[in-house]
Amino acid sequence: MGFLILAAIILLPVLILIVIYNGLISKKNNVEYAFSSIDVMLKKRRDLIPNLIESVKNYMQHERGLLTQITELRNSVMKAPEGSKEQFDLENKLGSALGQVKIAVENYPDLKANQNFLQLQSALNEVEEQISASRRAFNASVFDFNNGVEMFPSNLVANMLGYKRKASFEIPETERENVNVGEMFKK
Amino acid sequence: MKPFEQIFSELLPQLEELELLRQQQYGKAKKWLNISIGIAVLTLLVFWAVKHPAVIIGGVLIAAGFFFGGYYAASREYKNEFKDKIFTKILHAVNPNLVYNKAQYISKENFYQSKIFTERADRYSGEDHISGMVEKTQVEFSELHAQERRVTSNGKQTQVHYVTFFKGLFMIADFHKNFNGHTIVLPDTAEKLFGFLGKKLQDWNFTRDEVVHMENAEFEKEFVVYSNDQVEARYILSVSTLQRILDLKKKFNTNVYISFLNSKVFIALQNNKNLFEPEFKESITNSDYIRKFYNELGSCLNIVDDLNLNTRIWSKQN
Repeated sequence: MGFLILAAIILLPVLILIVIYNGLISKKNNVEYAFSSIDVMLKKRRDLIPNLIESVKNYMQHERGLLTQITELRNSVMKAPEGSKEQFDLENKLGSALGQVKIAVENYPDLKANQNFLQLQSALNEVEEQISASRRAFNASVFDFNNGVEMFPSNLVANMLGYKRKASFEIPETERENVNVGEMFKK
Repeated sequence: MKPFEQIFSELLPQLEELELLRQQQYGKAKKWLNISIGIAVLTLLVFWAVKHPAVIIGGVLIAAGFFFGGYYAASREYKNEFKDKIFTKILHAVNPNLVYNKAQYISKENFYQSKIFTERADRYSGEDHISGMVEKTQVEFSELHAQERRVTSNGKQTQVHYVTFFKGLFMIADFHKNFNGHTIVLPDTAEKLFGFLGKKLQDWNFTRDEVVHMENAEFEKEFVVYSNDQVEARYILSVSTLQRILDLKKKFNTNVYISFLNSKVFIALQNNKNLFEPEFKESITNSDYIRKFYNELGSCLNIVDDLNLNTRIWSKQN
């Protein structure tokens, strides 16, 4: 009997430790997984750009500068190291430049009647929504991870593993207003 | 959507005609009701004299027979006329693309497919099925009543009774975005009762998929989201959709259940009131009374706009 109690006293903390340890690891992996899904969506957006430029360039005579800027931004994003701050800064710039194209389209009724362009536009809207979804998923997983790192008792294990708080994504103002841009198209 | 005043003035001749039928049926029904009451009183008197239980049983059966055969049948006849002649007209004035079938309801397959409720629907019924296109969105809805059979036993006796787990409006609509997984939004009882601990409890709910925590605090307090894809759940439930669902809940002031599956959205709104049902006693030439139907229909159809389903700016166009 005494032996059993002794075994329980030793085993229970070990069991708790295992649960906490595994919980932290899965939280960390979730963050990484969510991060990579953002990248997938961003790449999807980059793939759409050449087609988009191709279909609008004949119409948008006044926005030549903007279109060239988008092409350049796309090229530099592809050269930037993956997952770096530089890459995400460039992606943000690219996102707002694309937003400007969306607004400029309003001045070209011919373009708005072009089936090919309309399809691209919907694909772009979709990808923007997916980017925002994966960023939110990333932020949620970071929130969960940070709770694990700071809350008792898992913070003790996190300290041993050398886990630090992770920063969540700043969602650019233009993307938060994505919905309003959508509303505009309805009119 | 035509304004109500116009619909009402167009309907008035038919309403007056039906009002005559209603008064006639109501008079008939009252006669049957009086007969039933008379039999009940007579039964009591005889029972008082004879003191035999068979008298009560027989009396009640006869009274009930007269009540259902007379009163209920008369009311049914009027209600059916109303639904066929008046309600259908109101519906078509509101939206000519819709099809109404008073006796049909959302199929059990669809009800189960939504996975909103995990209970078994041993008794399943409904009425007032409406379907068709609301602008670009295909919708279908009806009233539903689903009950599960429960057996309780105290050793000697076993009792069977049916417990209602859903009664209200059930709607299926085409969703405006493509998706592959399953995401479900349910009223949050655990978190409301137990706060943070409740939130933890949800994480361990093995009958559902993974919990998806949303960033809208008000939404999180009211609802819990389960999904098999964290990113897709947020793609479906964009920041503005979260707000729209909250507003929908506030508007109907009831429990709201939403399931996203196969590019469709299934919406269940709990409701104890019988929708689209005329009152036998109420005069129908009263415009406020008819307005009730127009409003009920309007709020159901507006769910499509409440959830922004007609906005087709994504790849899915139809």
